[in-house]
Amino acid sequence: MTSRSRIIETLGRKWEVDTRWRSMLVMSQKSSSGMERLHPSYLKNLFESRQKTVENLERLVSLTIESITKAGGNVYLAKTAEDARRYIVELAESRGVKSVIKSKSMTSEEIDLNNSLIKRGIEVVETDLGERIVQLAGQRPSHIIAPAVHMSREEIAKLVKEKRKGEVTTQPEDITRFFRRDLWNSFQTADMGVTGANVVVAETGHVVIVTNEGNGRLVATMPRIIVSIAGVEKIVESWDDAFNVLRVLPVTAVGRDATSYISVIGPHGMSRHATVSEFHLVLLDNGRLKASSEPWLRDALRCIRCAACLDTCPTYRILGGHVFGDIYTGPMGVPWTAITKGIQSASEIAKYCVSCSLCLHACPVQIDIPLTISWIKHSASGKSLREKMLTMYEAYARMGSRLPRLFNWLQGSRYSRRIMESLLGIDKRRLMHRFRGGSLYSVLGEKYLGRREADLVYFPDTYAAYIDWELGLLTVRVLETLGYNVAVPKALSSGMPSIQYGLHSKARRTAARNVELLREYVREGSRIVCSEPTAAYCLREAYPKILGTPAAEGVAEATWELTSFIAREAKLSPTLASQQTQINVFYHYPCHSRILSPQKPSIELLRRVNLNVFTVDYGCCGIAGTWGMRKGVEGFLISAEIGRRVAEIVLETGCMEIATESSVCAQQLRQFTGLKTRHTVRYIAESLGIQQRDYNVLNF
Amino acid sequence: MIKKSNNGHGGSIMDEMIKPGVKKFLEKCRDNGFQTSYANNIDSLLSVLSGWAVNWGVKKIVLGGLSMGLAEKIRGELAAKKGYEILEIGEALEGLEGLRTGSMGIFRARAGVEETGGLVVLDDWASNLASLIPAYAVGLIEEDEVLRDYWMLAGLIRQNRPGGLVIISGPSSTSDIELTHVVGVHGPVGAGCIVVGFELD
Ligand code: SF4
Ligand code: SF4
Repeated sequence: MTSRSRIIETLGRKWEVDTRWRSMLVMSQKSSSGMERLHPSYLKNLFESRQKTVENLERLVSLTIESITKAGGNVYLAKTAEDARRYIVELAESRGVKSVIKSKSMTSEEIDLNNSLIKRGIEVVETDLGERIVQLAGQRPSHIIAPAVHMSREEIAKLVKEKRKGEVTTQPEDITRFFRRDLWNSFQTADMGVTGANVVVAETGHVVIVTNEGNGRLVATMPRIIVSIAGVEKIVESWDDAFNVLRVLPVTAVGRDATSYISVIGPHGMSRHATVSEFHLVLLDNGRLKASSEPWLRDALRCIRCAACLDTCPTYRILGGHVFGDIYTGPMGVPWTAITKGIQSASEIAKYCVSCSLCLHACPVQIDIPLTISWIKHSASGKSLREKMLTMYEAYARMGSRLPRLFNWLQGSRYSRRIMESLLGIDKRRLMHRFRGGSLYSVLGEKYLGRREADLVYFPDTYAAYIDWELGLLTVRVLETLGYNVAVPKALSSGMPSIQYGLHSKARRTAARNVELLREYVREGSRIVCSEPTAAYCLREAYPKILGTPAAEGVAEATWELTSFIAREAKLSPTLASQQTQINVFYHYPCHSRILSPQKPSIELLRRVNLNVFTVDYGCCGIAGTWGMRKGVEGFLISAEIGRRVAEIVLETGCMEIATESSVCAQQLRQFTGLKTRHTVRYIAESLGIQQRDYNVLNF
Repeated sequence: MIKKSNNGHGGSIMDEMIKPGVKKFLEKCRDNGFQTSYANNIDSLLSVLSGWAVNWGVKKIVLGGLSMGLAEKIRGELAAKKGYEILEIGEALEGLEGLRTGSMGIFRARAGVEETGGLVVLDDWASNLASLIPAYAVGLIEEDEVLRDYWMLAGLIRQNRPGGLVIISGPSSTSDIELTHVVGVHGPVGAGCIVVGFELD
């Protein structure tokens, strides 16, 4: 089945998409409020513990093996998935094992253990409720901690009836009670228990498993042979490091301070058959050790499998893990597929990443998944011509600024939209901004372009430079009114489409040109201000990682997002408030602002200019730059699925206007809510008494 | 608020008598879904246990990891006076099935973690099973065994190098079906934690 037909089939199951969307919304809200509650030192400690593992992986593998061997336990280092499978199957066969019970283990999915055991006539029973449900359905988990999140209670009840001859209602309590009874027999009679591991402690050789249901405890207690499988990256050096993980994991995974059970298995296991028991730890390499020396992949080894990145990812919320995923699903699934199966396999799912960067914001160990995915796209062979075309968005905008009438006509005519769709890959249903005509650079003239000494350098990016220079002009006027000297040198656009589609050479060239231009100003003490959050994200986050130069670092440190700068640095007069008519405004928080302006400074500003501000944290609006403009299924269609759901939430607040800073978010919100959408700086300009030209309802 | 336990003789233990660390621990335990109580003498403990057994409607009581003296006192009160069937988990190993419903396990936890509200079962298969198999499970610890945080527990583990350990922070639960929270999956449906102000062993 092609990925296109898989998407269409998934979108056809509307109920499933709706449920996943709602569930992920709830889970990500729990996770993010948990993160906010955490003491910052917890995240810092966690990061350091995980980074220590990545930097010392080989040494920690040796230390773990030594600790377990010294204590007389069994440990096996498997180089590959095949190797791990063989060890466990041989162990089972040599001990006459007839049945195996398993607690949740993504690593066992990675090595495809179940099938190998079943082929040898050994019965395998998953005991985690979600895992058992997907096992009975003949599927694989669609989410790393909520495996059956894609299934309805009705489907599950039907499954129970068909596969287990159980009579249950559709109440989750009733279904759960059924599985409690149904699985008990397996717990009692199984010869072997297989568990995963959340942490392995090198200093003592203990395996730590985190669960809520209690099945992990039963699997590690009831059978006579217990096997734990752990990827080598799960190793931490000491118990202090282990608790650094255990403190944060339940918080970012489910928003709780603690899970019901943390089971710790020593080198001899904890079986109830004290005298005849055996415990084996299988440590799995399968690409991890190699990845630890690979600059773009090594950070992913810090992953603690909390799933916060899945919950927040806009495309995962729509597509789920059976489309956006391999064994490992969603955002973290991309680097993890690269580590365990290679770049080409990872690139199959990398295309579902739209580079919104929400996963980076949600990740407790700061794995830069979006840039890693961008590198994976870059490293994989085969770029589509359409994607290459979309990276030429700036050239398109420049032409539009020169020939506004023609371009506005082309964008408005159904016939030409069809041609644009087949030539440029821009979906004909996508509402486009109108060109005002002219560029910001030509409007401002040499005074601003050539100014060398300035407090601030304004970096307008494509929209404010070429599509509607009035936004750029207003930004300059606001900054001047606030007492700053502003320069606007002619820069290239930020180059986000090249990053998004993995055209790294082009992205590097763009980044280098912009850094070269801006570094001179930074050296003279100027700060850089961006009215477009994505531009600020590129300058602050992406350029230093792509270029890795001190100049890029310097530019990054000097870069501010406009509203954050005004809220934190500028002196806004307190009398501003009285000049604005009080209206209800919905604030949309652009994805890239979350990295740079985590405190939502715009809301503070909008309130200071006397507006009633409403907001709901639903994450990404679904356009993600040029991605949501792309023709068809892997672009506009998914973007529209997200856009419609976001619009429902926005419209429910009853607001009649939307404020935001991202020009593309404005495009999406306007298209799906039908509401007037304006840049936050317009409200500030109004309060400062700065005159604005005709506001074009098709712009923002 | 922490539930005050009645000592069975008309007197009640006031909040002020409970050390702040223990109070915080019990509050955390309650957040995690535990029933909690504090008992400053054996009568008070027995009264809480018997009250919970009634509330939960259990018929059998299973003991795991308790000292012989304490087990005797529990038998004396709950079996002899109240008529419950009382078993040691070791005796029940072959008939674990019978413990899945209508039973209450009482186990000895060796530490509590104030930071997260968890009971620690250390290197003790009997406590492990008594806290896992029955429909309800109640952990007992002494107030001096409440550790402030995970760092202290890390120290304890380093010192003791246990063969196995479990940190229990509430009854077993799941949200695997449409994110609906359901309590009582494979482990106990209800969990209790009693901190005592006297020596248990
Ligand atoms: S950057 Fe956005 S779209 Fe890409 S994986 Fe992360 S959350 Fe998903
Ligand atoms: S990548 Fe980060 S957010 Fe995603 S599962 Fe791993 S640790 Fe959690």
